[in-house]
Amino acid sequence: MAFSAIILTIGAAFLTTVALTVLTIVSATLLGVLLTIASILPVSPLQKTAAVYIQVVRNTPLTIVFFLVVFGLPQVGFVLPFFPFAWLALTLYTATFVAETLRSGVLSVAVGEVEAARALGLSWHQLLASLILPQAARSIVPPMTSNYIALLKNTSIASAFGVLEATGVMVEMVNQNSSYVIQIMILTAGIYLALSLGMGLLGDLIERKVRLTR
Amino acid sequence: MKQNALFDSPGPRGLRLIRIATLIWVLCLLLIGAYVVWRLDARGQLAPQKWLPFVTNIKLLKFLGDGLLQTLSASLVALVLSLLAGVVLAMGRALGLAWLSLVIGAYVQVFRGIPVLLNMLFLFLGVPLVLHLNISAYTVVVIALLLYNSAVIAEIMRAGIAALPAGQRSASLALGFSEFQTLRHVLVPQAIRLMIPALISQFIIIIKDSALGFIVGFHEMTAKAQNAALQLGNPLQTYIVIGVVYVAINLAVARMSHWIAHRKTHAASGH
Amino acid sequence: MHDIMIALRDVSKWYGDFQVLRNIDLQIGKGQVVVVCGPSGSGKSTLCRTINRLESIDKGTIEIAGQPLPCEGKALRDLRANVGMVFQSFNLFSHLTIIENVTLAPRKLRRSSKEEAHRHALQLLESVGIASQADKYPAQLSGGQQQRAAIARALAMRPQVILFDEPTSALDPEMVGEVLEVMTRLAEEGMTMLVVTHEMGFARRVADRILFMDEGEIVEDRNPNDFFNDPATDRARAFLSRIL
Repeated sequence: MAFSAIILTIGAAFLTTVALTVLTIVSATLLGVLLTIASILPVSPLQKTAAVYIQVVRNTPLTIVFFLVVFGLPQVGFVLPFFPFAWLALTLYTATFVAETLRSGVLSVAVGEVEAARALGLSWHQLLASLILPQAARSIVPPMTSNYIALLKNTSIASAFGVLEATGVMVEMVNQNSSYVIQIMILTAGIYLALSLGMGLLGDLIERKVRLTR
Repeated sequence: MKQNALFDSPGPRGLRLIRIATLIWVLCLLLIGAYVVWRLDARGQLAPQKWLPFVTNIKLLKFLGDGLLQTLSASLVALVLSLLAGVVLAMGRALGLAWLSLVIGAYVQVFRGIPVLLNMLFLFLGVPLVLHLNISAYTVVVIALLLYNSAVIAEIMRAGIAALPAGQRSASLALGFSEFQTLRHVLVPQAIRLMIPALISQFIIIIKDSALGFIVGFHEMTAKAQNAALQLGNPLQTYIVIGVVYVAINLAVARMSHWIAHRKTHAASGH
Repeated sequence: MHDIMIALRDVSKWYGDFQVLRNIDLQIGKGQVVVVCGPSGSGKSTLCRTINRLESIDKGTIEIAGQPLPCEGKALRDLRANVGMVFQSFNLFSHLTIIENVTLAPRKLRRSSKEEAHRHALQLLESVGIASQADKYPAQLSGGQQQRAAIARALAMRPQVILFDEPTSALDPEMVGEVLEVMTRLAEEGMTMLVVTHEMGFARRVADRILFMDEGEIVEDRNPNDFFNDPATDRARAFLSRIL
């Protein structure tokens, strides 16, 4: 295979990587928000459920989460193609980190300011909108960026579970064109690096725009 | 802010709402649980022969136990090597030599920016093809983990050194120590103590990443699980049991981190 | 028209086994300035915070302007809008400018339009002497300026009562005076005030009554001169000898 063809093949595979990453960013953030809300509401079983879920899943290797999704869901009646399975596994895993980040963001708001807001007569949703969200949103940008970059790198695990994303295709290319092994590896690593550095820069930009002078 | 500071203590209507929400949620959990149990039972997944081997089959337990030992071994070795390398890298960067800082900075950026699995695959595929050498799966996993975690720990140590009061370095230099001696005897030991929780968290990450070893043929716990599940025909049960083991190990490591932090504060206050 | 602004009857509160408020009976009339003093742990802060239900009570009743204190919901929020509070650690919203701090509640609770709230806020900031700081963030102000801003924030809702929970305890000594000056002027203008404080000079000059609390009880309830010249109880005597 000509090297230019290899470049195109790997580049195309990165589209799958990016798609998986972007989709998971959306779904994991949504699930993470739900988990955070559950862990904050004063309903004890809800808090405990969220806490157990988060503690168990974040301490499980992502590999095992993948195995459980791929082997477990069909037994409960959900059979899906490889890509949705990977998306689900990544979502369930990443959401725990998102939830922890969001929760610490909410709890980082000074208790005195919350009391002052309540003492003024603000309702709960006014408290949330005027005090908690603005402050929490600003403090969570760097850790959330880290979470999403980790997610990008974690998509590589989907290669072991049938998804033709960048890492899986790279292995295929190396096996088919062993003379180009070094170039293929450098190319793949280079694109991952570019993507993760790009996400980091984007995060820095956003953080600088919303920075708080405390 | 402590969690309960977010809400007023509930009045009668609030208590009623909480009670209703509690009821609804518990009901939901029971319904979902019942559904899952029903479906699993319909497919025979609750059959004892799928679960009993984990209690009765000694061969299986030994088999998986070997895998666990491999997991812990590779993880510990990788942790120790990464700590050493990470500290050396951080010291190198803190010396203030422009070219050295650049090289180390590049190393850190590269290995934090690419997936650990890629490291493993590079070594697994690349070493035989390019260097024409045999490399054991164990070595592949340990080196791959080392490359990634040395970069992460170098960053952790950099943050730790930067968090120390500026006076530490000034005082040490004023006493006549060189930059290197300052790092070695004054800054790094303090930074390590400061960063112990972060370092222990990194150990948990290493343990989780070791599971990737199954992809490159490393016979750690996940690979053994895959093997056993194939032979015994109970993949779901096997992965659940393995998952529980991983969670238990990681929670134990996390608990140790709390204990160390607890001891530190007591030691610091002279109790 | 009620003369009694705040009425506590047989109020008790426990933290687990520890009783922090014991059978408190207290009535504060309109326009009265009541100072609460006592050793730390005497429950004076808790007492202050039960009045706008930042702390709940386990026994007894609390009435504000003749109405029982609501436990929750809109009724409680309306009451809180009518009862101002100034905290020991100022608690200004760190992500908003000073003027935004002062206008937040009036705008959100739809008491005023944006322009009206802004105008009123500037007036208040002027009256406490920090109009020039209106567009700065709390972190850029000194402690004394922050507390004066906090008082302006409380005043923006035009409350009938203001609760002060150790308003000067976190201030450097040279800034205590500027805050006490504002509070003195408020008292002279007829505001009903409950002030938990150690500032005995202020108490002597401005207060109509002094409550001495110890171990959860109101031990003495006198006018300031009588209290300072001739405390009725040994506990009060011991306390005064320690701080004066």
